[in-house]
Amino acid sequence: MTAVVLTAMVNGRPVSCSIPPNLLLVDFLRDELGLLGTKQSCEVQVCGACTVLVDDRPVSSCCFLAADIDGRRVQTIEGLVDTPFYERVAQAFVRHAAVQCGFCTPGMLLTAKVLDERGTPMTAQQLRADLAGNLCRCTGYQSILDALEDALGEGPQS
Amino acid sequence: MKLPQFELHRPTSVDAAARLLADLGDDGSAFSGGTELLLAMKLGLIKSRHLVDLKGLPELHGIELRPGGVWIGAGVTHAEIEASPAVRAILAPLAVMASQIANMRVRAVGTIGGNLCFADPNSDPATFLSAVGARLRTWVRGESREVAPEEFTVGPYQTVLEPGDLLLGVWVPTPPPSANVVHLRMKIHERPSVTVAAMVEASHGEVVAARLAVGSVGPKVLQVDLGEELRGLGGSAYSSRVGALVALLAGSIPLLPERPESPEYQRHLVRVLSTRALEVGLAAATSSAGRPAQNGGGEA
Repeated sequence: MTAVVLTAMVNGRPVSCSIPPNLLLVDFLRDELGLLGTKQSCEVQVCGACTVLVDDRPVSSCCFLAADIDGRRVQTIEGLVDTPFYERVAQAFVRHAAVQCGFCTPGMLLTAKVLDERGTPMTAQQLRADLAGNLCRCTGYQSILDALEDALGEGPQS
Repeated sequence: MKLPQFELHRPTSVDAAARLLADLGDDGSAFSGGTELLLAMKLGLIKSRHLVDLKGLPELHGIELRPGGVWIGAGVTHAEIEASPAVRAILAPLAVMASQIANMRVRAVGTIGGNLCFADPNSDPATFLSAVGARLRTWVRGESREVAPEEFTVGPYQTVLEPGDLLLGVWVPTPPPSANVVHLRMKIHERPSVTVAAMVEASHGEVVAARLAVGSVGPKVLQVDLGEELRGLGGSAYSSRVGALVALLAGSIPLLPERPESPEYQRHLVRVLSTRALEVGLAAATSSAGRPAQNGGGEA
């Protein structure tokens, strides 16, 4: 395999390296960069646990080539903490007990970030449709939907 | 799960990509969003040793409003179609259909061309595009050609394209002012169990033209032109004729084997959704005559 040269911004920091073309983004983030907040679960882009943002678009990093972040910005859950958005949503998750084992939570928060960026208040019905691609096996979803409605229902505040 | 080893090629023109894919033959795969390809490669279902990345081909990008319709490049993502003002202006149900594909992450990177070329029988776009009379623009051995969506797919995961041929984009004609497009689907698993799309054109409550496409149940999209059968009908005469035609269709449509849904259930869904699409199609075409098709679409 011919290596691919990669230059990208990951959580605001420049990354430059040479990688094999078949390296998946989730393995690059976890194994090469040590960013363990990105979780791997279903491995077939159904569950949303490995969601990261590439140029603000949500992708399943388990089915996305690391080579395809060349020249782009990547945001993982580690890049989201310490932002006003994270504070707002994390507090809502605590208020509504929307975290149990926590494995799906990074993906849920990054998906919520995309919804927040739209800048329009989310109705419960829209939230339900947009979060249909993020699975949680603990909460039964209602507490997550409640927390996000609480945090995003009145539009962006950050 | 890791991906098997492969070489990644990044051509920058349709010509170069086509030549590369022709040379590689069965050893090469066209690659764009990767939402189907990478998954199939992880599972060992596709064993290409060369991926030819089509994302760098400018010809495949962009949505463009042109006289008589909208051009959608093969490399346009589902999310781009969902958000496109041009698409919403001429055919809002197409944007709604795109907004229901898989999940937000798949829509953000998956492309309309990739969806059509992968030709998974359980998918909405080909069925929808067939009903609205869309045409696919292909690049076959250096020549540009046009093919209907229902003829583009030969069977499950098989299209008319040979190695080195490409899908350039989709031409979606503006529906006639008195037409209405309805798209219905039933989904109990990750992918639709049945997809139905109808375009009904009416004048003074009576049918002028009608086309129905049914997908996700058989090996390929089935499109039927019901214009002859339904022309001039309205009200209860229309309903009763639709009932008879749809019963015949549901009873005879070829089904995919080994689906989780029973054949009886699949045929039942075809009958119910086709009837509903044609009924809603006429009602909406009648009530919205003179305005562009804006209704329809949704989870059944």
